[in-house]
Amino acid sequence: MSRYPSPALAAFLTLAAATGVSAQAPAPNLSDPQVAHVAVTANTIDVTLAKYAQTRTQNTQVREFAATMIRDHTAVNEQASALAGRLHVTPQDNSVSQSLLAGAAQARSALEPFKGSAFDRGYMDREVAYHQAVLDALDHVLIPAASNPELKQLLVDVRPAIAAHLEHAKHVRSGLGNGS
Amino acid sequence: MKSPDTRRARLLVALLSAAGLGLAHAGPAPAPRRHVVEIRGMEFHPAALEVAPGDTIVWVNRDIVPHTATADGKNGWDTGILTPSHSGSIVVSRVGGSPYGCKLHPTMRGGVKVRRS
Repeated sequence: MSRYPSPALAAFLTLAAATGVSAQAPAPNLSDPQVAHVAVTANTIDVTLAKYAQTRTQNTQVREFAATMIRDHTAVNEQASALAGRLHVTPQDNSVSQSLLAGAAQARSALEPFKGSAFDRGYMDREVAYHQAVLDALDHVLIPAASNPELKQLLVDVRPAIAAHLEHAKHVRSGLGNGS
Repeated sequence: MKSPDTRRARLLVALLSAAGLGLAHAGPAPAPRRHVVEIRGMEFHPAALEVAPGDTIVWVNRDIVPHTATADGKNGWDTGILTPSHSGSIVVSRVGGSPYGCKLHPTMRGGVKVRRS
């Protein structure tokens, strides 16, 4: 058993709880400004954690993965901001965004004590869980909730990138072993 | 004995035949073509491409994130980073196959086969 399930589990449970992704709970009813805020927040969280990871890891694959997260999620946020400007939509803070931020802070705190390969495993566990949770949130909450066609299309366009990140994260994580 | 006219006629036929054969063999080289590969949904479309030496391949990034088209191996071709809505191209020269991918996203794979023209 991995010694570092907690950041991944915490990330998944936090995002799942925050976005209402579960078989029982109904999806939260978000307005377009709130959907935009959740999307931007989710991207920013991953950029911030990737920048932190780059200061902590010595592993080339982990460093390259983090660089891709920074590059891609920054690009998505640039397009989201441009779209919000065109649509005259001001992203609106909401409870889902707040929960995401709280979960991100928790995940980072959980990673801080670890060093070397233990940190790498914890970070990649978190990235696998986070991207899976974001995919679920896109499918079950954000895309269904978006009413503006351009906002909805942006979320649809983002989905393959998140799916590719998830596969990339799984591949890097599998190369790190279990540290036993 | 053959007359000079007959010999000239045979020589002319031989020359024309040679010229005709020459045309048939050398012919004008096919004009280089331009092939476009669209990058969308984190995939190359088409993923497999067959081209001739001298052809140009253009990759157009229709995705929301940056990509590259980079041949496998150390000394292969590379478009460099293509930001969204931008494109990059290479002119193929060597006959053979080149598997390639996006350096930033290892799940993205494609292939270029360069056949003799």
